[in-house]
Amino acid sequence: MDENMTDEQTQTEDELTRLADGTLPADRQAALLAQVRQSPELTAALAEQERAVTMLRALDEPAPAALRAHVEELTGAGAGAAPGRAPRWRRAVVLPGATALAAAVAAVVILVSGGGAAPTVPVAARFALASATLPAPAVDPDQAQNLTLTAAGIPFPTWGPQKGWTADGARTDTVDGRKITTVFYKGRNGGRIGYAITDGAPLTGVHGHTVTRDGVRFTLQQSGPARLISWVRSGHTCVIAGRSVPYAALVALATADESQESMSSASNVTAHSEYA
Amino acid sequence: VVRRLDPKSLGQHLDALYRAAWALCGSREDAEDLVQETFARVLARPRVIRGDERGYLMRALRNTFYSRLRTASRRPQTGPSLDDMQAPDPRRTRQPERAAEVTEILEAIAELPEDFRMAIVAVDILGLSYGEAAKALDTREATITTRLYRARQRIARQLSDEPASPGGDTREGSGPKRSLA
Repeated sequence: MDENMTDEQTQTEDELTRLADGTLPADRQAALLAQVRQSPELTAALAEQERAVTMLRALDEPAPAALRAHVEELTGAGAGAAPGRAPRWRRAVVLPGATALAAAVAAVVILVSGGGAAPTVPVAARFALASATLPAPAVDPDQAQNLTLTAAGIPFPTWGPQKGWTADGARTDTVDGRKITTVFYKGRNGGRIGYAITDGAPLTGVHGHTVTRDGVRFTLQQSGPARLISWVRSGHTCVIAGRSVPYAALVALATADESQESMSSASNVTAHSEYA
Repeated sequence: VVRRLDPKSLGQHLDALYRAAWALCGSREDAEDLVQETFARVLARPRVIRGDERGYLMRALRNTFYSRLRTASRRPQTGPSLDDMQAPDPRRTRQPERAAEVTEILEAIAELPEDFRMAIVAVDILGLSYGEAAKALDTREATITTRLYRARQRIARQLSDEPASPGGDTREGSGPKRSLA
């Protein structure tokens, strides 16, 4: 460690480390975030920590089958049969296998039959990955950062050329009486993402790694070839999903949207616009 | 809580341990060997553990890793043989972008200084708490936090196309210069 560092600097770094992975005690979060917002250096330092945490905790490379078989021999048990203990950051939000399976089955039933069961995050993600059925909403003339379309009182963001994503369609669906509103965005390099907001209480079916940005907890999930992130805003579940778009880019966009109202810095958004 | 280690419960840690081993070794093949040897050592006799199973495995993985390094350093150095060549990973053909991303990240961790590497493997790869990581690595929790900050900073910079932080110190491992009033 740098001998010239003050205790205060060390403490700040320690707290930034914990803020980035969500282990900083709640009573310190607000104060530290206020300091971060006033300092470009601290903002950049936190963004670096958050980028690393997102990358590292989204790693899901499984052990090769041959190694699994060998370990199975050694332990005398089906290594793959035992339910894996999720890392600490996953444990808080992982659903029991049966519940997750039920959610997946429910999603299929809903999509095929058109209703019945309550919507879940995977269901909302299916819509976010589906085709648009409505034209893109216009930009709000009074608030250029938002589109004119809202869902559950939450405006959809414009994002626009600066962030590399432009609205190019929308759709609305109703599942078990819950309205799911989705806006699709086209990236400047041909990518596509869907941003779905479901009205009513937060959805179930949330399982995966979590990262915290500016006090907002995002859950990262894989759905086949697609990646999706979900979070709760004003009591409603928001989902952004896309194929071939890194989690870091999805989180950066969501963070930018979340922080628009508070006008806080979202310096890492442009860093990921190359995936657009 | 002191208890006997149940061999049958160890399989649930396999995937995380494999990723941790890859991050330590920097190679998929070495990681497989390291995990296999770690399990073999742990299961060679009945074990009694205190606390978290994964923390115990982290310690075992680290000890086995060092042991292999010592053995390798005593071995005469030879040129690469056919066995040293990396076989193509069939999974890479299914999701090439994803596989490349995983490889890049884990290899970047493997290039970190040892203390930083151990901290990031324990907390961000294996999912230990800061306290569990400190115990597994025989150090203080505050030390783990500091090493983690540095390690993540280097990983973020190495895997980013962006220039260094605006106004940030460009010295390796340095943190934000501004002192908070």
